[in-house]
Amino acid sequence: MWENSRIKKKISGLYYTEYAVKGCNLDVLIKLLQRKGLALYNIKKSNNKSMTFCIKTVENEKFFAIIKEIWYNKENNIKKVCYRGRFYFVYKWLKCLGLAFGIVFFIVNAFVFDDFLLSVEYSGSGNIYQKEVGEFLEANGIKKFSRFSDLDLDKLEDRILAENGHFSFVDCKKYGNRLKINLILSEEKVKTINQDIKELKSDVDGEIESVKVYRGTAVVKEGDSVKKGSLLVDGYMQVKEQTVNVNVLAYVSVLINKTFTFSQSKEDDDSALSYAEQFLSEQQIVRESFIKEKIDEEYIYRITIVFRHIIVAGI
Amino acid sequence: MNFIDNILQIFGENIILKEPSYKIIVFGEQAVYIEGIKSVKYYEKEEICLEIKKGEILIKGKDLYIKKYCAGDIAICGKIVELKRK
Repeated sequence: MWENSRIKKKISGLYYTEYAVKGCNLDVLIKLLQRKGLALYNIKKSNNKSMTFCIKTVENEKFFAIIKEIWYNKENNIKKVCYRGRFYFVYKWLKCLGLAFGIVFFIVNAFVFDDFLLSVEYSGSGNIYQKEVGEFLEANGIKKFSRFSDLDLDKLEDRILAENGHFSFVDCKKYGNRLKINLILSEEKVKTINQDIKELKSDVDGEIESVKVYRGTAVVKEGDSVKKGSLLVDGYMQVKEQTVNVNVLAYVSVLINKTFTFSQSKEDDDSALSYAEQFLSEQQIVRESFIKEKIDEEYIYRITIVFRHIIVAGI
Repeated sequence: MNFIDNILQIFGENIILKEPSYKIIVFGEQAVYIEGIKSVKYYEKEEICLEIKKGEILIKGKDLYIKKYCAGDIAICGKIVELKRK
Protein backbone atom coordinates (compact mmCIF):
# COMPACT_ATOMS: atom_id res chain seq x y z
CA MET A 1 0.00 0.00 0.00
CA TRP A 2 2.86 2.36 0.83
CA GLU A 3 4.63 1.49 -2.43
CA ASN A 4 1.71 2.70 -4.52
CA SER A 5 0.52 5.48 -2.26
CA ARG A 6 0.09 9.00 -3.51
CA ILE A 7 1.97 10.39 -0.55
CA LYS A 8 5.03 8.35 -1.44
CA LYS A 9 4.88 9.56 -5.03
CA LYS A 10 4.50 13.16 -4.00
CA ILE A 11 7.41 13.05 -1.59
CA SER A 12 9.53 11.13 -4.11
CA GLY A 13 9.22 14.16 -6.36
CA LEU A 14 10.72 16.38 -3.68
CA TYR A 15 14.09 14.74 -3.28
CA TYR A 16 16.73 13.43 -5.64
CA THR A 17 18.77 10.35 -6.39
CA GLU A 18 22.39 10.83 -7.33
CA TYR A 19 23.97 8.42 -9.81
CA ALA A 20 27.57 7.83 -10.83
CA VAL A 21 27.98 6.77 -14.43
CA LYS A 22 31.02 5.40 -16.25
CA GLY A 23 31.29 5.16 -19.98
CA CYS A 24 32.63 6.69 -23.14
CA ASN A 25 29.56 8.41 -24.49
CA LEU A 26 28.44 10.43 -21.56
CA ASP A 27 27.40 13.38 -23.71
CA VAL A 28 25.16 11.07 -25.70
CA LEU A 29 23.59 9.94 -22.44
CA ILE A 30 22.85 13.54 -21.44
CA LYS A 31 21.21 14.20 -24.82
CA LEU A 32 19.20 11.01 -24.67
CA LEU A 33 17.88 11.64 -21.19
CA GLN A 34 16.96 15.18 -22.12
CA ARG A 35 15.18 14.07 -25.24
CA LYS A 36 13.13 11.63 -23.21
CA GLY A 37 12.04 14.43 -20.91
CA LEU A 38 14.15 13.78 -17.79
CA ALA A 39 15.32 16.83 -15.84
CA LEU A 40 18.96 16.52 -14.80
CA TYR A 41 20.62 18.28 -11.89
CA ASN A 42 24.19 18.80 -10.72
CA ILE A 43 25.85 17.18 -13.72
CA LYS A 44 29.55 16.97 -12.89
CA LYS A 45 32.33 15.23 -14.74
CA SER A 46 35.27 14.02 -12.71
CA ASN A 47 37.10 12.85 -15.84
CA ASN A 48 36.30 11.94 -19.45
CA LYS A 49 34.78 8.63 -18.55
CA SER A 50 32.89 9.26 -15.33
CA MET A 51 30.13 11.61 -14.36
CA THR A 52 27.65 12.15 -11.56
CA PHE A 53 24.21 13.66 -11.82
CA CYS A 54 20.91 13.78 -9.94
CA ILE A 55 17.38 13.11 -11.04
CA LYS A 56 14.14 13.33 -9.12
CA THR A 57 13.59 10.05 -7.30
CA VAL A 58 10.10 9.77 -8.74
CA GLU A 59 11.73 9.43 -12.19
CA ASN A 60 14.05 6.56 -11.27
CA GLU A 61 11.95 3.97 -13.02
CA LYS A 62 11.80 6.07 -16.16
CA PHE A 63 15.58 6.56 -16.04
CA PHE A 64 16.29 2.84 -15.87
CA ALA A 65 13.81 2.12 -18.59
CA ILE A 66 15.62 4.57 -20.87
CA ILE A 67 19.16 3.35 -20.21
CA LYS A 68 18.10 -0.26 -20.50
CA GLU A 69 17.96 0.31 -24.22
CA ILE A 70 21.54 1.54 -24.53
CA TRP A 71 23.48 0.13 -21.61
CA TYR A 72 24.08 -3.53 -21.79
CA ASN A 73 26.29 -3.69 -18.73
CA LYS A 74 24.60 -1.24 -16.45
CA GLU A 75 25.49 -2.97 -13.19
CA ASN A 76 29.10 -1.87 -13.55
CA ASN A 77 28.48 1.40 -15.32
CA ILE A 78 25.73 2.93 -13.25
CA LYS A 79 25.74 3.14 -9.49
CA LYS A 80 23.39 4.87 -7.13
CA VAL A 81 25.46 7.14 -4.92
CA CYS A 82 22.96 8.54 -2.42
CA TYR A 83 19.74 10.43 -1.96
CA ARG A 84 19.79 14.19 -1.80
CA GLY A 85 17.35 16.85 -0.75
CA ARG A 86 15.77 17.96 2.51
CA PHE A 87 12.60 15.96 1.92
CA TYR A 88 14.45 12.67 1.89
CA PHE A 89 14.51 12.83 5.67
CA VAL A 90 10.72 13.20 5.73
CA TYR A 91 10.30 10.30 3.31
CA LYS A 92 12.52 8.06 5.44
CA TRP A 93 10.45 8.70 8.55
CA LEU A 94 7.15 8.28 6.74
CA LYS A 95 8.35 4.91 5.52
CA CYS A 96 9.02 3.81 9.08
CA LEU A 97 5.93 5.47 10.44
CA GLY A 98 5.34 2.74 12.97
CA LEU A 99 8.88 3.02 14.29
CA ALA A 100 8.73 6.82 14.34
CA PHE A 101 5.44 6.75 16.17
CA GLY A 102 6.80 4.18 18.62
CA ILE A 103 9.85 6.34 19.39
CA VAL A 104 7.73 9.46 19.86
CA PHE A 105 5.26 7.57 22.03
CA PHE A 106 8.07 6.15 24.15
CA ILE A 107 9.66 9.56 24.70
CA VAL A 108 6.35 11.21 25.53
CA ASN A 109 5.41 8.35 27.83
CA ALA A 110 8.77 8.33 29.59
CA PHE A 111 8.95 12.06 30.18
CA VAL A 112 5.33 13.09 30.44
CA PHE A 113 2.96 10.25 31.25
CA ASP A 114 5.39 8.50 33.54
CA ASP A 115 5.16 11.51 35.79
CA PHE A 116 1.46 11.01 36.42
CA LEU A 117 0.24 9.03 39.38
CA LEU A 118 -2.40 6.58 38.24
CA SER A 119 -2.85 4.35 41.27
CA VAL A 120 -1.81 3.83 44.88
CA GLU A 121 -0.97 0.39 46.24
CA TYR A 122 -0.68 -0.49 49.90
CA SER A 123 1.27 -3.29 51.46
CA GLY A 124 2.57 -4.37 54.85
CA SER A 125 0.88 -5.09 58.16
CA GLY A 126 -0.56 -1.59 58.26
CA ASN A 127 -2.45 -2.26 55.04
CA ILE A 128 -5.71 -2.38 57.00
CA TYR A 129 -5.42 1.35 57.62
CA GLN A 130 -5.31 2.08 53.92
CA LYS A 131 -8.60 3.94 54.12
CA GLU A 132 -7.15 6.46 56.58
CA VAL A 133 -3.98 6.83 54.57
CA GLY A 134 -6.02 7.26 51.39
CA GLU A 135 -8.07 10.01 53.03
CA PHE A 136 -4.89 11.66 54.23
CA LEU A 137 -3.46 11.61 50.71
CA GLU A 138 -6.63 13.10 49.24
CA ALA A 139 -6.77 15.80 51.88
CA ASN A 140 -3.21 16.75 50.88
CA GLY A 141 -3.99 16.88 47.17
CA ILE A 142 -2.39 13.56 46.26
CA LYS A 143 -4.78 11.71 43.99
CA LYS A 144 -5.08 10.19 40.53
CA PHE A 145 -3.26 12.23 37.86
CA SER A 146 -1.17 14.12 40.43
CA ARG A 147 2.42 14.50 39.28
CA PHE A 148 5.27 12.64 40.92
CA SER A 149 7.55 15.57 40.21
CA ASP A 150 5.39 17.64 42.61
CA LEU A 151 5.75 15.07 45.38
CA ASP A 152 8.55 14.71 47.88
CA LEU A 153 8.24 11.04 48.80
CA ASP A 154 10.57 11.30 51.81
CA LYS A 155 8.48 14.10 53.32
CA LEU A 156 5.31 12.19 52.51
CA GLU A 157 6.58 9.22 54.50
CA ASP A 158 7.29 11.48 57.50
CA ARG A 159 3.89 13.10 57.28
CA ILE A 160 2.00 9.81 57.08
CA LEU A 161 3.97 8.60 60.08
CA ALA A 162 3.25 11.79 62.03
CA GLU A 163 -0.43 11.96 61.17
CA ASN A 164 -1.26 8.30 61.75
CA GLY A 165 -0.15 6.96 65.09
CA HIS A 166 -0.73 3.36 64.07
CA PHE A 167 2.51 2.97 62.17
CA SER A 168 6.08 2.42 63.21
CA PHE A 169 7.42 2.57 59.65
CA VAL A 170 6.19 3.96 56.33
CA ASP A 171 7.88 3.59 52.96
CA CYS A 172 6.72 5.34 49.76
CA LYS A 173 8.13 4.37 46.38
CA LYS A 174 7.34 5.13 42.77
CA TYR A 175 6.92 2.14 40.46
CA GLY A 176 6.15 3.43 36.98
CA ASN A 177 2.84 5.22 37.37
CA ARG A 178 2.03 3.60 40.72
CA LEU A 179 2.74 4.85 44.21
CA LYS A 180 3.52 1.91 46.48
CA ILE A 181 3.12 2.59 50.17
CA ASN A 182 4.42 0.03 52.65
CA LEU A 183 2.85 0.44 56.09
CA ILE A 184 4.19 -1.34 59.16
CA LEU A 185 2.03 -1.33 62.25
CA SER A 186 3.21 -0.21 65.63
CA GLU A 187 2.62 -3.12 68.00
CA GLU A 188 1.26 -0.95 70.87
CA LYS A 189 -1.57 0.58 68.88
CA VAL A 190 -3.35 -2.60 67.92
CA LYS A 191 -5.58 -4.38 70.38
CA THR A 192 -6.28 -7.92 69.37
CA ILE A 193 -9.23 -8.67 71.57
CA ASN A 194 -10.03 -12.27 71.02
CA GLN A 195 -7.53 -15.05 71.17
CA ASP A 196 -10.40 -17.16 69.92
CA ILE A 197 -10.44 -15.94 66.37
CA LYS A 198 -13.76 -17.47 65.53
CA GLU A 199 -15.52 -14.26 66.52
CA LEU A 200 -14.69 -10.61 66.97
CA LYS A 201 -16.46 -8.92 69.86
CA SER A 202 -16.39 -5.34 71.02
CA ASP A 203 -14.64 -4.50 74.26
CA VAL A 204 -16.16 -1.01 74.51
CA ASP A 205 -19.43 0.83 74.17
CA GLY A 206 -19.57 3.05 71.16
CA GLU A 207 -20.68 3.70 67.61
CA ILE A 208 -19.31 1.81 64.62
CA GLU A 209 -17.25 4.10 62.39
CA SER A 210 -16.08 1.52 59.85
CA VAL A 211 -15.94 -2.22 59.39
CA LYS A 212 -13.47 -3.97 57.13
CA VAL A 213 -13.82 -7.69 56.87
CA TYR A 214 -11.27 -9.77 55.00
CA ARG A 215 -12.49 -13.12 56.36
CA GLY A 216 -15.76 -13.70 58.16
CA THR A 217 -19.14 -12.01 58.08
CA ALA A 218 -19.88 -8.61 59.62
CA VAL A 219 -22.95 -8.46 61.82
CA VAL A 220 -22.74 -4.69 62.37
CA LYS A 221 -22.42 -1.80 60.00
CA GLU A 222 -21.36 1.83 60.01
CA GLY A 223 -23.47 3.89 62.38
CA ASP A 224 -24.60 1.01 64.60
CA SER A 225 -24.37 1.39 68.38
CA VAL A 226 -22.59 -1.45 70.14
CA LYS A 227 -22.10 -2.46 73.74
CA LYS A 228 -19.18 -4.15 75.37
CA GLY A 229 -19.34 -7.82 74.42
CA SER A 230 -21.42 -7.28 71.27
CA LEU A 231 -20.56 -9.51 68.36
CA LEU A 232 -19.00 -7.52 65.52
CA VAL A 233 -17.74 -10.13 63.04
CA ASP A 234 -18.69 -13.79 62.97
CA GLY A 235 -16.42 -16.57 61.77
CA TYR A 236 -18.36 -17.97 58.85
CA MET A 237 -18.64 -17.25 55.15
CA GLN A 238 -21.01 -18.24 52.38
CA VAL A 239 -19.06 -19.99 49.64
CA LYS A 240 -21.42 -20.75 46.79
CA GLU A 241 -24.23 -22.56 48.59
CA GLN A 242 -22.20 -23.74 51.54
CA THR A 243 -21.52 -22.13 54.88
CA VAL A 244 -17.86 -22.41 55.76
CA ASN A 245 -16.29 -21.74 59.13
CA VAL A 246 -13.29 -19.46 58.92
CA ASN A 247 -10.92 -17.64 61.21
CA VAL A 248 -11.88 -14.03 61.45
CA LEU A 249 -9.64 -11.44 59.81
CA ALA A 250 -11.22 -8.04 60.29
CA TYR A 251 -10.70 -4.49 61.37
CA VAL A 252 -13.39 -2.48 63.16
CA SER A 253 -13.19 1.15 64.13
CA VAL A 254 -15.44 2.28 67.00
CA LEU A 255 -16.07 5.87 68.06
CA ILE A 256 -16.33 6.34 71.82
CA ASN A 257 -17.80 9.34 73.63
CA LYS A 258 -16.19 10.45 76.84
CA THR A 259 -17.42 13.39 78.88
CA PHE A 260 -15.41 15.28 81.45
CA THR A 261 -16.87 17.79 83.90
CA PHE A 262 -14.69 20.05 85.94
CA SER A 263 -14.47 23.60 87.18
CA GLN A 264 -11.81 26.24 87.19
CA SER A 265 -11.63 29.71 88.56
CA LYS A 266 -10.75 31.45 85.30
CA GLU A 267 -12.35 31.36 81.90
CA ASP A 268 -9.79 29.61 79.73
CA ASP A 269 -11.20 27.32 77.07
CA ASP A 270 -7.84 26.09 75.77
CA SER A 271 -6.53 25.04 79.12
CA ALA A 272 -9.83 23.30 79.88
CA LEU A 273 -9.59 21.29 76.65
CA SER A 274 -5.93 20.46 77.25
CA TYR A 275 -6.76 19.27 80.72
CA ALA A 276 -9.40 16.88 79.33
CA GLU A 277 -7.18 15.67 76.47
CA GLN A 278 -4.42 14.54 78.82
CA PHE A 279 -6.68 11.72 80.03
CA LEU A 280 -6.87 10.43 76.47
CA SER A 281 -3.32 11.16 75.42
CA GLU A 282 -2.85 7.73 73.88
CA GLN A 283 -6.10 7.76 71.97
CA GLN A 284 -6.81 9.08 68.52
CA ILE A 285 -9.12 12.03 69.12
CA VAL A 286 -11.64 12.58 66.35
CA ARG A 287 -13.49 15.64 67.62
CA GLU A 288 -14.15 17.56 70.81
CA SER A 289 -16.73 20.05 72.08
CA PHE A 290 -17.57 21.75 75.34
CA ILE A 291 -20.31 23.58 77.21
CA LYS A 292 -19.28 26.32 79.59
CA GLU A 293 -21.32 27.66 82.50
CA LYS A 294 -20.48 30.28 85.12
CA ILE A 295 -21.76 29.60 88.60
CA ASP A 296 -20.72 32.12 91.27
CA GLU A 297 -17.04 32.75 90.55
CA GLU A 298 -16.38 29.34 89.07
CA TYR A 299 -16.47 28.23 85.42
CA ILE A 300 -17.96 24.80 84.94
CA TYR A 301 -16.75 23.01 81.79
CA ARG A 302 -18.51 19.97 80.40
CA ILE A 303 -16.16 18.64 77.72
CA THR A 304 -17.14 15.85 75.32
CA ILE A 305 -14.38 14.07 73.42
CA VAL A 306 -14.98 11.51 70.68
CA PHE A 307 -12.03 9.23 70.06
CA ARG A 308 -11.36 6.25 67.88
CA HIS A 309 -10.84 2.75 69.21
CA ILE A 310 -9.58 0.03 66.87
CA ILE A 311 -10.50 -3.61 67.27
CA VAL A 312 -8.65 -6.07 65.09
CA ALA A 313 -8.75 -9.81 64.75
CA GLY A 314 -6.54 -12.18 62.88
CA ILE A 315 -3.29 -10.22 62.75
CA MET B 1 7.05 38.48 -11.34
CA ASN B 2 8.26 35.09 -12.50
CA PHE B 3 10.92 32.99 -10.83
CA ILE B 4 13.91 34.03 -12.95
CA ASP B 5 13.02 37.71 -12.60
CA ASN B 6 12.99 37.21 -8.83
CA ILE B 7 16.48 35.72 -8.99
CA LEU B 8 17.70 38.58 -11.15
CA GLN B 9 16.30 41.11 -8.75
CA ILE B 10 18.07 39.47 -5.80
CA PHE B 11 21.43 38.79 -7.39
CA GLY B 12 21.50 41.51 -10.04
CA GLU B 13 22.22 40.44 -13.59
CA ASN B 14 25.36 41.59 -15.32
CA ILE B 15 24.62 40.77 -18.89
CA ILE B 16 21.43 39.83 -20.62
CA LEU B 17 21.49 38.78 -24.20
CA LYS B 18 18.09 38.26 -25.68
CA GLU B 19 17.40 36.84 -29.10
CA PRO B 20 14.19 35.50 -30.60
CA SER B 21 15.21 31.87 -30.17
CA TYR B 22 17.31 32.02 -27.02
CA LYS B 23 18.15 34.08 -23.97
CA ILE B 24 21.39 34.27 -22.01
CA ILE B 25 21.78 35.73 -18.55
CA VAL B 26 25.23 35.91 -17.04
CA PHE B 27 25.74 36.27 -13.29
CA GLY B 28 29.22 37.68 -12.93
CA GLU B 29 31.77 34.91 -13.24
CA GLN B 30 29.84 32.37 -11.20
CA ALA B 31 26.90 31.28 -13.33
CA VAL B 32 25.14 31.55 -16.62
CA TYR B 33 21.55 30.74 -17.41
CA ILE B 34 20.44 30.01 -20.96
CA GLU B 35 16.96 29.42 -22.26
CA GLY B 36 16.08 27.88 -25.61
CA ILE B 37 18.88 25.40 -26.23
CA LYS B 38 18.40 22.33 -28.37
CA SER B 39 20.97 20.06 -26.75
CA VAL B 40 24.35 19.83 -25.05
CA LYS B 41 26.80 19.09 -27.80
CA TYR B 42 29.60 18.21 -25.44
CA TYR B 43 30.44 18.84 -21.84
CA GLU B 44 33.89 19.07 -20.30
CA LYS B 45 35.03 20.60 -17.05
CA GLU B 46 36.70 23.45 -18.97
CA GLU B 47 34.35 23.79 -21.89
CA ILE B 48 30.67 23.30 -22.62
CA CYS B 49 29.18 23.56 -26.08
CA LEU B 50 25.45 24.06 -26.44
CA GLU B 51 23.44 23.75 -29.64
CA ILE B 52 20.85 26.44 -30.27
CA LYS B 53 18.43 26.87 -33.16
CA LYS B 54 20.90 28.67 -35.36
CA GLY B 55 24.43 27.93 -34.24
CA GLU B 56 26.17 27.08 -31.00
CA ILE B 57 27.15 28.71 -27.73
CA LEU B 58 30.54 27.96 -26.28
CA ILE B 59 31.27 28.47 -22.60
CA LYS B 60 34.82 28.22 -21.31
CA GLY B 61 36.00 28.24 -17.77
CA LYS B 62 37.19 26.13 -14.82
CA ASP B 63 35.35 23.47 -12.83
CA LEU B 64 32.22 23.93 -14.87
CA TYR B 65 29.17 21.86 -14.02
CA ILE B 66 25.57 21.86 -15.12
CA LYS B 67 23.38 22.86 -12.22
CA LYS B 68 20.12 22.14 -13.97
CA TYR B 69 19.23 21.00 -17.44
CA CYS B 70 15.57 20.64 -18.22
CA ALA B 71 13.24 21.30 -21.15
CA GLY B 72 15.60 23.51 -23.11
CA ASP B 73 16.79 25.55 -20.10
CA ILE B 74 20.22 25.13 -18.66
CA ALA B 75 22.04 26.64 -15.69
CA ILE B 76 25.83 26.35 -15.68
CA CYS B 77 27.93 27.12 -12.62
CA GLY B 78 31.66 27.35 -12.05
CA LYS B 79 34.35 29.89 -12.89
CA ILE B 80 33.26 31.27 -16.26
CA VAL B 81 36.01 32.83 -18.31
CA GLU B 82 34.54 33.16 -21.77
CA LEU B 83 31.18 32.92 -23.47
CA LYS B 84 30.77 33.21 -27.19
CA ARG B 85 28.31 32.54 -29.91
CA LYS B 86 29.46 30.45 -32.89
